[in-house]
This record gives sequence, C-alpha cells and structure tokens, in this order.
Amino acid sequence: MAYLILKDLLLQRNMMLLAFAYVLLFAFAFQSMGDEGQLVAIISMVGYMFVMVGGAWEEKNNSDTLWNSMPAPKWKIVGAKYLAIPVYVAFVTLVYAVVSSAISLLQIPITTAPINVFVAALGTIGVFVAASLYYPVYFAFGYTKSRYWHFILIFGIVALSSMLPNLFPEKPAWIDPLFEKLPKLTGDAMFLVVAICFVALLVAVSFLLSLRFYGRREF
Amino acid sequence: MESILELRNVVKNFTGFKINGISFSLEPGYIMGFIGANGSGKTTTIKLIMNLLHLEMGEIKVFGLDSRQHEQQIKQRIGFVYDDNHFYEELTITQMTKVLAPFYKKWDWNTYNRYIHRFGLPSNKKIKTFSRGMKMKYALAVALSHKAELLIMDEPTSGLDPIVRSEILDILSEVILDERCSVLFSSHITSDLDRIADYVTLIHNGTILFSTSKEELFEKYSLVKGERSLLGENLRPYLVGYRESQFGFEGLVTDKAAVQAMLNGNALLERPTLEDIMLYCTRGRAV
Repeated sequence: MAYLILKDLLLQRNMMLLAFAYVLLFAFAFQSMGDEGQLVAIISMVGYMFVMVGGAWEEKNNSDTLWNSMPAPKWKIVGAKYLAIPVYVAFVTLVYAVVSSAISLLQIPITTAPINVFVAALGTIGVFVAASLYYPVYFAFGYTKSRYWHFILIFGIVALSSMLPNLFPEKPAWIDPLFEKLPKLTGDAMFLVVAICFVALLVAVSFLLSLRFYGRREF
Repeated sequence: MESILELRNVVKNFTGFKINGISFSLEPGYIMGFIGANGSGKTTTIKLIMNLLHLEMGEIKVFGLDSRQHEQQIKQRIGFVYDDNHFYEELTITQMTKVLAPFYKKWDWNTYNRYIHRFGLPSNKKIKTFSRGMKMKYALAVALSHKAELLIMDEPTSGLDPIVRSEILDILSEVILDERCSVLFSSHITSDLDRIADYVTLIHNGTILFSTSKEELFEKYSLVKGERSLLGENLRPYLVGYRESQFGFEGLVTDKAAVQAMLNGNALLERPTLEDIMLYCTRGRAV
C-alpha cells in the first residue's frame, strides 16, 4: 500500500509546488478568521485539493484498468487513498510553516497563526470529513461523475454556513438539553478525543462504502 | 493436460450487445489467436477473463482455478498487454516500475532490465513522451518480468509499424519456447496470427464461430477461384461464403477433396489466409 501512496505523491509533484502558492493565497484570504480558523481552513482546503487532484490523475490515466488487472486487492487500492490523507496534511502543514516563516522574515503584511498540534489535528479532521463524504461517490462513479457531488458538497457547506444565522437567529431550544445530556466537555483535549472518535467512525463507514461501491464497478 | 485457460458458457449482457454463452480453452505452451472484427466481443471477453467486467453466467477457470474466487493468486501468474496505455504518463518507467513491481511476488529485476535494455527504452523519460510502440514494449517488458505463465494481450500490435510489430512477435515466439507460458493474443490483424498462432478462435457478434488449431483450420478450408458459371447448386453446399465480380468468383469452401473432384480442374483451389477465413465466416455468402 505504501507504493500506492508513493505513486500519488509522485503524480502530485506539481501540486506540491502549487501548494506554496495556495497556502500563501489562503493565508491572505483567511486572515480575518482568527489564528485557529485560518490554519484549520488552510489545512482543510489545501489538503482536500490534494485529494481531488489525486482522483483526477487516476481518471486521466485510466488507471483503474491497470490496478484491477494486477494482483492488487481492492481494499489496498481504496485504503491507500484514505491513508494518503495524513501524508497530504503533513505536507501542507510543512508548507504552511515555510510560508508563514517567509512571510514573517520578509515582513509581508499578512497575519499568520502559529502552528500548534490541536489546530493541525482539527485541520486533519477537516480533510478526513470532506474526503469521507467524497470518496464513496468517487469510488462508485469515478472522478468525472463524482465532480458533481464535489461541487454539491462544497457549495452545500458554503451555503449552509451562510444560511444558518438566518435560519436560526436565536439558539434553538433543543440545543441546551442535548448538550446537558452529554458529558461535560472540558478543554481542547477532550474535544479532540470526541472529534477523533467521530471522524474515525465516519472514515470507517466511508471506507467500507467505498470498498463496496468499487467492488461493484466494471472497467 | 489441464487447460491453462477455460471459458464455459460465458454470458454477459449489454444494451444492444451480448456475449452469448461462449466456450473455449487454451492448453499450456501455445499461442491462441483471438480474432474477430471490431466490436465482435474480443475485448469484452478479455475483460471478463481479467475480472474487469462481472460475469453474469458461466465459468472462467485460469490455471484450473475459478477466476473470481482466486483472483489475486491468478493475477500473480498473468502478464497483460492492452491496446491502450494504462500506465501513468507523467511518471518515468523507472518510477512506474518501482510502484508496480512490489505487487508481484516473483518480480525479477534482471529480466526487466534485460528487456528495457533490449527495447532501448529510456528510463528517465516520462511515459507521455514515448511513442505507441515504446509504450507497448514497456507493457510487454512488465508483463514478462514476473514469470507469468499466461500472457493476455488485447490488440497489442494495432497501430504499430511493421518493424515494431515484428519485434513483438519475435519476442512472443521466444517466450513460448520455454513451453511453460501460454498466450491469448487478440487481434484483427490476422497476418500477425498467421505467423505465430497455434490455435485460432473466431468470435463474431459475441458468439464463438470456431476454436481450433491452425492446422485443422487450413485443412478444413480452401479458397476457390473460378468463373461465375461454376457457382452452381452443386458447389453451394460447400461454400462458407463467396464474392462475385465481373471476372468470376472467389469463395471459401469446406471439404477441399470433394470440391476439387466436382470442379474437375476448372477452378483454382488455394490455401486461404486467416483473413480470408475470418472474412467469409463472419460475412457469409455473397460478400
């Protein structure tokens, strides 16, 4: 499986260079989101771009025919896509560190947040959530058709986040009782543990769906 | 001897096309030419063998194993060359092979390097800069570098110049000399198969018209040429297909001895090519 991830990295060398430009652009665009929001948004968005570009390369090279003609089990083909996500995130975080250092050294008037593990983990969760929603459709229909789902996903999130304040101008009555029933979450660590458990479940379900859909496909 | 490849009553339905209960088998150590017109079902059959399409009915056994139940085990022992390039065009062949090789338990780097050297393939150039012939040679090098016992080749020589085609056919002949490797070679360029095939299987509209040894095929069929006046009722039962022109007729007949006796030296009887056989068998009478 490591070789499948290596292949994704080799194919995305141009994207790796472009990542520096994207990080700089998003750092500028998301300055107003505050320290944590800016870094989470950058890691999530650029990480997800790696996910999408990886899919595009597979489609361009019609590689499903290659891998499914080889002794490569489908769970490895599918699993490698999920396992590449932490690699993408690690790379984007590294790029962010380089870009934010360069901004600081060159005294470019862009505010950048310092990297911390909690925020980087939130960014990673962001990519996993987006990829978990995207990959089952990608493995069911291939890149070209799944792009429609991708657009629905992205625009849906953007539209929902802008509509929410209008839909719920006041906090709905069911929110407080719901949270009273949950154990009181104190501090970042507990929040992170809950978020990781949720994402692990989401990724597991997404992986199983992807595997099932991919197994049904014909090439 | 157990067949290395066996298809039994294989069925696959598509809108407007059907693989119609096809059966044939290939013995170890032989090259089978899988011929048919474009759209006759050659690639579909190969995809069914490779599990790229799901079988609806019937059975496919490779090395005596069910192709679905033992898919990974079987694919360790199969080399494949397809008509389209499926390698990542943005990678060099060194990078591509580093990714592919670990999947094969019996990968042999010495064999691989020998073929790459023999084919004169540049290791540091991206695959997208390769000509069609170079891509095909690379695919062949990969297919031959993991001690495959069955090579499945789908139109490997189409679109290649005669020199590269000849080179690929020479290698196939060499490979087969070890008596362990078998080849299923689909092509509509029948002259390639005239040269190297031991067995020939003809598919037409998703149905196998025949699957037999090349010797039996040339014993069974003859090409007859003569004046149109000879095209009487006596000859017609022996005619598989024929075509008329203002100068006479040409047709494919069975039972050479009977036809020879009937025409009494008034017509020319020749050994047909595979193309003649494919043409008359698939198009029938009055081509």
